Amino acid sequence: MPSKYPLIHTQGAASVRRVGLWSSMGTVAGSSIAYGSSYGQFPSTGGSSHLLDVPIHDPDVPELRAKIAKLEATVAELQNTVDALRFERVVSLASLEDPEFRLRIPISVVIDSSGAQVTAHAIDLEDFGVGETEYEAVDDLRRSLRETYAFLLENESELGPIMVKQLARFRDVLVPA
Amino acid sequence: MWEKLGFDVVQSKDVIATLRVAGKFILKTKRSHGARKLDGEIPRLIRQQMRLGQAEFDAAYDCPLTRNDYVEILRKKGVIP
Repeated sequence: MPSKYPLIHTQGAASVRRVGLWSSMGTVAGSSIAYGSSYGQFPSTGGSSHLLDVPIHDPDVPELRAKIAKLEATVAELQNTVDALRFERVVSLASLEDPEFRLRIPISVVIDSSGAQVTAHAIDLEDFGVGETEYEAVDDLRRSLRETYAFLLENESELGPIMVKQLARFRDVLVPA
Repeated sequence: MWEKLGFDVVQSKDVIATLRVAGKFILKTKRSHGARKLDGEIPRLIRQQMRLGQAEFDAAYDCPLTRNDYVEILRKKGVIP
């Protein structure tokens, strides 16, 4: 079973118990360490034991808990990053399936399936599509790109600076069919 | 959230939200009608289109951020001239 605390090497129940002890001092039964003891002595598991001799004093407990909380937050953040990378990949979109415009060059699209719905994100054009599947998400992106381009053209004289740049990028990649 | 920040919201195939300041379209964002919930990448994509950092987006979502606060953030970021 993967460890919830990958930064701490675990070998069997004794090691797991050590983690539990540190995070809930004084509540672990069956351990040879009791709350208030000056030294943590765990039963030998035959593996590395140098971590077992860390002195634990009462004044250390709040600081240790704070450190553990910080480590847990870091681990959770790393887990989110790993999950995001696991569900993310980049594909090329070569066609808009539009009778009026076509893509002059394929555009990069980031597909993400980490949520309940798949998203297809054209980063350079600042637009995205959503769907139940990758195909649906890419189709939705095509539709959204057509609509966004039409919106930008229709309102060209009223665009703020960000949208002026967005229109310029659309013009770089979209040409009349 | 969008109405509170002063976006014009239009229901089409998507829910389209556009922000106009002094007659200019500053930003455009959207969410899908079909989206059952805003999870996965969707909140991040909306946040990016709104040009907000995570904490700013959380404040917008949880209500403390007003339209004036939002416009001020966009001015500081150069999104609004």
